[in-house]
Amino acid sequence: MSGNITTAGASEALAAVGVTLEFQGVQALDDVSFSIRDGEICALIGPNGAGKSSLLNVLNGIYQPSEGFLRAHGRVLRGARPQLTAKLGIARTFQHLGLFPGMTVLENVLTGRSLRHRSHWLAQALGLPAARRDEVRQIRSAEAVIHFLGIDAWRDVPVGELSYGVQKKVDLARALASEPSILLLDEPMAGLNKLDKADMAQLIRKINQEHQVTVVIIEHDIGVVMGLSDHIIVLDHGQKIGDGSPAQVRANPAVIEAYLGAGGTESSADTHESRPEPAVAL
Amino acid sequence: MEFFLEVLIGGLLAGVMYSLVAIGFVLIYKASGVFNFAQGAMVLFAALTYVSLIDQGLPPWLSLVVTAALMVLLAVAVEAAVLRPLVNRPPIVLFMATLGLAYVIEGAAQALWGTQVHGLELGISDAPMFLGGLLISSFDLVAAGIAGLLVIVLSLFFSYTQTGLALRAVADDPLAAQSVGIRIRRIWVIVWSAAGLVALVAGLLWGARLGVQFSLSLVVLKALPVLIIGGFTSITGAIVGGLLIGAGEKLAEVYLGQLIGNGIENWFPYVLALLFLLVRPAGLFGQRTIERV
Repeated sequence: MSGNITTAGASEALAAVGVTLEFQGVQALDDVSFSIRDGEICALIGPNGAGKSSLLNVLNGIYQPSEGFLRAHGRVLRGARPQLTAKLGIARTFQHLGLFPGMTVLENVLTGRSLRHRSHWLAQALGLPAARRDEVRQIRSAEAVIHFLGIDAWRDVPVGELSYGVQKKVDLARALASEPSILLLDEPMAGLNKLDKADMAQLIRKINQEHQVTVVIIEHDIGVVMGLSDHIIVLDHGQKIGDGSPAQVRANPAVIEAYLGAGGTESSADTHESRPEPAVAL
Repeated sequence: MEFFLEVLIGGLLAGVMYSLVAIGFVLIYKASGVFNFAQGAMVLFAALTYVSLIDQGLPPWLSLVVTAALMVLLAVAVEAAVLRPLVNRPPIVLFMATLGLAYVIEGAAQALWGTQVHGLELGISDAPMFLGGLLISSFDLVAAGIAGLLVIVLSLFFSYTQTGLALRAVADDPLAAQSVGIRIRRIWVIVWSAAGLVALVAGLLWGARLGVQFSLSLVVLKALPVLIIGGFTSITGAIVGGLLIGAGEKLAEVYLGQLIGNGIENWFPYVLALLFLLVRPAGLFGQRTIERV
């Protein structure tokens, strides 16, 4: 398993090597290793409580693994903080919207440009011409992203007033505004209706293809996952139980077992809302 | 009528001075959700440092620059020694920390510069002047002008610059702000520096009025009703709250004082704040939080 993981391939975007995460004795992730290639759409799936969001939080630097390390574009990361991973081109969206509710759509997306600023805060305070030019540049870039995602109509509306579906897109727009090379999406389609889901899936594919962004996505809708991803990683109880193409994962007995098990045992932390469909649907 | 207007304007001008102190609280509360109990100590520290430097023979402009630099240094120290170790702790923990910080800063100020009362002469005349037939204190007028200017500069900075945007992002959701690459520590230093500079201006104006002494740190008590009325998260709220308190207490003293005894202005603001708490607990401009249950 580790042959292609301990050494970075030329086209590797992001990898985890022996990542273990513990919270006061509870093991959220247990020796998880994988490698995600540049330019692919990789889905993280598994029953609730499998450790998907924890893993995404590790990849983004919000959690520090107790053992193991990450590698982004060949660079080994130990104890990286969100600010550093952001600098390395990793952007993310949040499962429970991490937007800034009091700010407008444009302002929210502008915060995504934080690392692209070229002017010092003192220059901004003094309103120097260079700072103003920079400001205009940032606004243009943010507007381009807003247009790309088709949310122009809400440009100046505070996001707290928007529908959930639009907020999900604003979250995506803010992440995209940083011009990331790797995009981590935590359940971008949760709570969306079928039409919005299809719309979002199309956008994700467009982002992946037109902007050459590697996408790591947590998604419960197996139908969407199978249609969208090039690569699927399956987690269960903090361990990796499957890793491969959609066809390989579909045929993996351990995955089928886990999904049937998750559906059949009472001890599972799963809830009906987010439980993946049973293995027969795989 | 003229008398009423004079009282009203005098009250409004005094209110601007309350706003000035309240804004220091708002800045820090907005950015970190912390009620900074040490704001009063910062006012005292700044004023005492400025006066003592002048007593040492420094020219006023140099004293001002050195004191301002010290306030920025203080912000850096607070971030490193207090905020960073306590990151992600509940607000009450940070509040307790600022309580301790208040004593440390007060102690440091008095250990450095002594405890005697200093007079502070800013060179602003305190002679009353006639303006459109009304008798108005020229000191109050200048102080209000300075405070107004400061408020405008701060509002513009926080509304229209990228740093201001980052500050609001940190205030809304620190984790999301970090994830888009905003350097949260830098934002804290900037905010505490701004609060320190506001404390400096407040310290000088209040110091010139009351003398620079320990009780200067108690000026902040008048900022509390201002914050309750205006809301803890709004600079505009701090201004409106200050004006309401200033005008309210002076009018109450003059007109109600005759009926129920003098000295009303000392407690009237708190009664007003109490009424606001009953009717509009988030204040006039404060952010009302909706919690999902």
